[in-house]
Amino acid sequence: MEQALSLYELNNLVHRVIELNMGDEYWIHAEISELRVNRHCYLEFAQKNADGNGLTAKARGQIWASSWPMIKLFFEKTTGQALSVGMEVLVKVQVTFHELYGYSLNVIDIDPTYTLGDITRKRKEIIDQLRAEGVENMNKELQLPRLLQRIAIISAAGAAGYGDFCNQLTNNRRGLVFSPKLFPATMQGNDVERTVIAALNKIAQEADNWDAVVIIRGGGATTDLSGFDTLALAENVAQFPLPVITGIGHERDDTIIDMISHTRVKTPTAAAEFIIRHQEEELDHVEDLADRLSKATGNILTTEKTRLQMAATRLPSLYANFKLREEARLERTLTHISHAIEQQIRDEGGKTDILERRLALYAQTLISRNSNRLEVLENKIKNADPERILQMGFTLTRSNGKVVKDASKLKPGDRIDTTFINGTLTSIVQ
Amino acid sequence: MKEKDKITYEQAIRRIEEITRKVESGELDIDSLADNLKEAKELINLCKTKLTKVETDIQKILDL
Repeated sequence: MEQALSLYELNNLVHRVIELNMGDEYWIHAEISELRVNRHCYLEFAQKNADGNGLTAKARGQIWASSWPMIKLFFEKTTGQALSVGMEVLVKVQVTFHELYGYSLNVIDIDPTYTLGDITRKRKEIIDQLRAEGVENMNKELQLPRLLQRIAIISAAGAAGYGDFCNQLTNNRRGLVFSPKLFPATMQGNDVERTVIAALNKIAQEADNWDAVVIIRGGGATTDLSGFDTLALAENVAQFPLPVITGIGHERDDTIIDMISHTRVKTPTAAAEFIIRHQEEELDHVEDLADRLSKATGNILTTEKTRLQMAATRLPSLYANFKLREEARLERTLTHISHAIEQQIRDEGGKTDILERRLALYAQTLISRNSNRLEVLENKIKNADPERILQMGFTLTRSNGKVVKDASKLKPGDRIDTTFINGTLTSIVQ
Repeated sequence: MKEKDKITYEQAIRRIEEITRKVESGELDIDSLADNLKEAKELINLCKTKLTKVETDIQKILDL
């Protein structure tokens, strides 16, 4: 039987083999599955199956305190995010083996652009999801109220950014009035999503009291902004009933909520400036309207005065023209009337002649007709003359002056007068 | 004037814009000009006040 090795001897052997054969540095990409900072940064790297379930590889790793601050600063400055669990990283490692602690990877460098690509991909996934939900542009489509005064601010209480924002608003150039109120939230790290959503909910409950929401973060140059890149927060901001203005402040790229908020500015001061300018434009608009009104009124009055003056100047000549015209008209009318009368007289004269002739004719007819009748009557009268009858031998008998036509009416002794053609005899009836 | 106190900024500015348009286009006769100008002036003052002076209702919210 060969001599048995102690565990240390075996591990030492492995140590030496690795050191001898794997002295190079290797760039590897993996996901961070665990992370703990205790002066040094302790990590666990993992590689998932192709289908995403289960692991195909796992290794412990560490970044020693000597290089950790530098790597951290470099990474956060570039990505705007802190190294965290679930993040895909590209790191340069040395493979080490320690007799007591075993196999581990010693991280000596990191390539943040790789992670940036991963962050971008994740953001794209979130944006795609928001688009699929139909909420991507909802906050952008809200109209900023013309009166942008009552500002609900989500920020960390006491942070420099919040102070800057309030100072800027208060000391604006034109005495514009604003009413800001702080709804405190944690602006970095893991609590961002939870606390910002809580603040948003609080504002939403009294949405009528606010014109807009401002989410600002100020201070430290490099901080973990990954909390602003979550789907839940993005959904809340996108569908928020008031316009959201973000001034999260990262020099390299925008977070998800910068992308979907109504308006995105770089810093809290810029957010205040944006709001002030909006109100200045409104004040300018009001003043411009006042100006235009005054000018337009001036123009109207000038025009009216000119009209009046022109009327006053033109009136006499206008009247003269009018008088001439009316006189001419009168003259024409008179001529017309007199012509008409003459014509009528001529017409009427013709008519009289005809009547006269008709009248004469009529009179003649009437006369001749009546003279005929006269002759007939004359004959009749002639025939009825008692003298003529007496001549024919008839007599006329009267008693007491009355003509006797009936002999029986006479009695003997009555005195009667008998008239002849040539005289009257009185006799007594026997 | 009670009604005027309740008018919103948006309503006020829209009314001023409407009057300005009418005056500029010469739509208003000289008789109604004075009334419209008076109304516009009141509304302009109202808008300026809203932009530059703290209103009591806002103050109340802040005092909560």
